[in-house]
Amino acid sequence: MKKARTTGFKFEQALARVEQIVERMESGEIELDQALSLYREGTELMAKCQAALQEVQRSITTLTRDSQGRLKLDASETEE
Amino acid sequence: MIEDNKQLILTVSQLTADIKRILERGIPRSWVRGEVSNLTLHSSGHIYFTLKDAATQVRCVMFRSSAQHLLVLPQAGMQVIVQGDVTVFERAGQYQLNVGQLQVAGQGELAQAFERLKKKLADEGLFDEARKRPLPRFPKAIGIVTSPTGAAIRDIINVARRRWPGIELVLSPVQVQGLGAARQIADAIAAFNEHGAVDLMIVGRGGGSIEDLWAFNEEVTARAIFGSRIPVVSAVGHEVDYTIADFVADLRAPTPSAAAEICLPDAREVAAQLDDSRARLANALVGLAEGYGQRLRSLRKSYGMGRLADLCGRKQQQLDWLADRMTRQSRAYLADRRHAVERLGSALTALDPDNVLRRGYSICRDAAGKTITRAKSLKTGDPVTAQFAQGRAAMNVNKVMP
Repeated sequence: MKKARTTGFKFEQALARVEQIVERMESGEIELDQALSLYREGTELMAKCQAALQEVQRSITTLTRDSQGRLKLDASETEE
Repeated sequence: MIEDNKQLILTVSQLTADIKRILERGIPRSWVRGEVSNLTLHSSGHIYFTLKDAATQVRCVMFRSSAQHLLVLPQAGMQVIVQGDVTVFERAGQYQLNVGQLQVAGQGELAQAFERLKKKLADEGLFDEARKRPLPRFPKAIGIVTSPTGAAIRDIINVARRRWPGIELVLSPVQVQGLGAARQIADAIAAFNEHGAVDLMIVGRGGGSIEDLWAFNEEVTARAIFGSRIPVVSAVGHEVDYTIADFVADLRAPTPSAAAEICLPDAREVAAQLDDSRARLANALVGLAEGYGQRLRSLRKSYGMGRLADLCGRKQQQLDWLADRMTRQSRAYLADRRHAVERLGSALTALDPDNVLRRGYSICRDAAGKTITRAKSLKTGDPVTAQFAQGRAAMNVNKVMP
């Protein structure tokens, strides 16, 4: 199982921010230098979103209790 | 007297053995219909209850080996049909029905139990729309409470992987039918909440009879879903199957596959949306730049700008004029000065004594070298020197004529 996740990156928030940036830019009521920095921010976020979309497939894990009743996550063989 | 017929006197055990033999051999395995009462679930897994009708009753036991196959736990008051053998429990001197199979008598009974629980939970507010939580639009990890071997888990994995390849799926394997299934489902839901590994849950199973799905109609399952901090999507059976779990869940999916579809956005759609956003962003930037260009051009052409240009032109003109004037003036001044210098030069030339001498005049000086300008200052015989343009001559005064 690939553990390394893009820490701190929230896909939903990123996408919402991109939407917001696009709308803001499309409104036209914005200063050019601000537009440039928004454009940069937007393209960076989109690249991250794209990367998240292409994240590799993980194997399924199972949540079970051990004999002491503690919860544990295990990679499972359920997936063929 | 009685003592004499010793062969006729039985022990309790002998009698009981006779009863047992007669009852157990004489009554074939039978199906019996009746109403359940005095139901006890023993920790051993055995179930004890009484089956009765209007006039009579019979004690029943269902041992764990049979009870564990039960789909629906009978409830007091429920009409059931059981199949069993009459046995004698010697120690208590009681006969009982050793139940091998138990069915709720007709769909009506289950429907009633369903409606009773539905009403009870509805009254308690477990189905209130207001308490249903929105599902995360992009869940990071989904917990699945279902059987590890059923069709449901395969369907969910397939659809989830297709829609969002990177999704983390965590299975909590449970039994989805039979006695104890509801408890396992409830525990699994609680475990996900305790562990916190997922931000969304799918609870369900594939299709089956109403009895097969019964674990999802039990109160313990409903309360676990209600108590979950993590949003729950129910996915029980087929499209037509409605269970209590469906009413409590934050969202009901008609099937397990549909649950995976509801829980996850399609990565291809999102990618297309991203492409669209990218294009819109670029267009917006270009449009914005064009807009500014336009504004710049129109500003340049504006009256105010024109005025400024005019002003600049006028100032330029004034400047040119001043420059011209200055050049002209300075040129005239220089010429004037030059003339003055020339004039002075000629005046100076005119005053040069040498020039006078060249015209034939001469300067006469006395013995001391002083220029003589009056004859009166001389006496006869005084030596004087006359200077000419070239050379000098010494002479003496002959006569003074003042």
